[in-house]
Amino acid sequence: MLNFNRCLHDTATRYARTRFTIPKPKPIPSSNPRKPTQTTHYLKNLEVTPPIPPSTANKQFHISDTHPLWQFFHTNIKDNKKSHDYITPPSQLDTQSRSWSITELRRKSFNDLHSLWYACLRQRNIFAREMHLINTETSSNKNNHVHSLQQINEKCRVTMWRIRHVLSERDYAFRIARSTTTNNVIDQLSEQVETTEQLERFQYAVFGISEIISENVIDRKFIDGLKYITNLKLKILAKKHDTLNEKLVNDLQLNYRDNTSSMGINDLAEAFIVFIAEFDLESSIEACDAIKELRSDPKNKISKYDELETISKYIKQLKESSSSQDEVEVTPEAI
Amino acid sequence: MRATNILQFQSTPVTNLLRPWKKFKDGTIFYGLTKTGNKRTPLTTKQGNKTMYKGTRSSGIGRHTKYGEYVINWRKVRTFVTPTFPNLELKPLVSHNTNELRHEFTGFKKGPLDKNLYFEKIKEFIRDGRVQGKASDVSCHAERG
Repeated sequence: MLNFNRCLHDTATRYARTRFTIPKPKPIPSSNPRKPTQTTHYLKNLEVTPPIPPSTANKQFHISDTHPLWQFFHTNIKDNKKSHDYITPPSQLDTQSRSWSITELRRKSFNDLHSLWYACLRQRNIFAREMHLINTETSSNKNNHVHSLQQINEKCRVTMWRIRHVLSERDYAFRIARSTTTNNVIDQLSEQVETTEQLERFQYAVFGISEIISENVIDRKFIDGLKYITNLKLKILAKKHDTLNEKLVNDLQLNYRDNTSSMGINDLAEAFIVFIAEFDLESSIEACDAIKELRSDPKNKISKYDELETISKYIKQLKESSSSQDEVEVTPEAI
Repeated sequence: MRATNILQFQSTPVTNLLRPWKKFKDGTIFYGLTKTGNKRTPLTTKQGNKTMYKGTRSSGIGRHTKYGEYVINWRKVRTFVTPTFPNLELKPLVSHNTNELRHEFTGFKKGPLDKNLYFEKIKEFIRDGRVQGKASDVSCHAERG
């Protein structure tokens, strides 16, 4: 006899005789049933096809000469005809050449280094396969062949670590330069700007702003760069032309010839008008008129917090107008 | 002076034969079944004890589900980023007849990492755009870095 004195509340039901009780009803089918492991029966899907005669002349075995996998075999060019070797003949191995030096790699662009890396990798892949195959052979010349392959392989490896070295060097140089960049340095760099091409290169090098406006990523940095370039444009033109300078001083209260005052255009809408205008006298005078009109209504002033939203709106409008090829000038008033 | 006999380090020839083989609790030897032969070759995936796992560094890119499927985690799959427009004229090696170029960093104390050199290069880029340096001529031996 079980003692239920000091038990849990469900102990009695657990120990109760369940042998002859009515079976429980089946559970409700799950809404998310388990998928069948085999979805089709092969007998249903089996089709009998005519037998394929076994021969290498079959069309299915034809491989074009331009197949990319041929790049993993040594190419032999003889009388303007390309042929591929299963294993590079030892006479064709180039044991004389040297690996790329660091100084030579420093002159290359990132894309060139990237392609060179893969050229080396492909070459080393060929060598690894060949060395593996030659090692299984039992020829007398085997050791010499493998040795020369290993030597060239090592040279390719040296090229590869030098590519990495050059890239890391570039990265460090960039980081060091970025951490020490001041406004003074940017001002010094801006002294180089005289023509439109130089201005484009300046905005690309310093602020990363591409000349094609729609390519740019719109962020805080872009807006800061835009404002700087606007002021730089007006500054250069005002120093050159007296008419523009007078207009700027009288209408907009901007004096770029006076170096002591650091005031410039700080409003985004105004900056954008000058930014999309061309870098010459006439279009900048037109831009000045547009800015003057804009300033007549104080509602047009854009607060610092709306700048990101507004600039993306302007650029979207600019894209649409350029895609529809209408010669409607997009100005902030139109928006 | 005579060299010390190596056998003296082991107390008896019997203990020499019964070197400290590493054993698991169930008596199996860690490195395999036999004690003879060369032990210094790298182990293959088929060798070793039940606890020895040697992969090919190619698996483990996802997880098994309870239905016996395998879900690939694409963040774990290795990818090879190739250049979109590769320069196919570049070869892995350079002809031994070309002289190695020398870079001179005169006036730049930290060499290629100098910040003034960096600003100088930006200045030149703004002024002249993308132009080839004088070392694009093979006969040139030295150039500013």
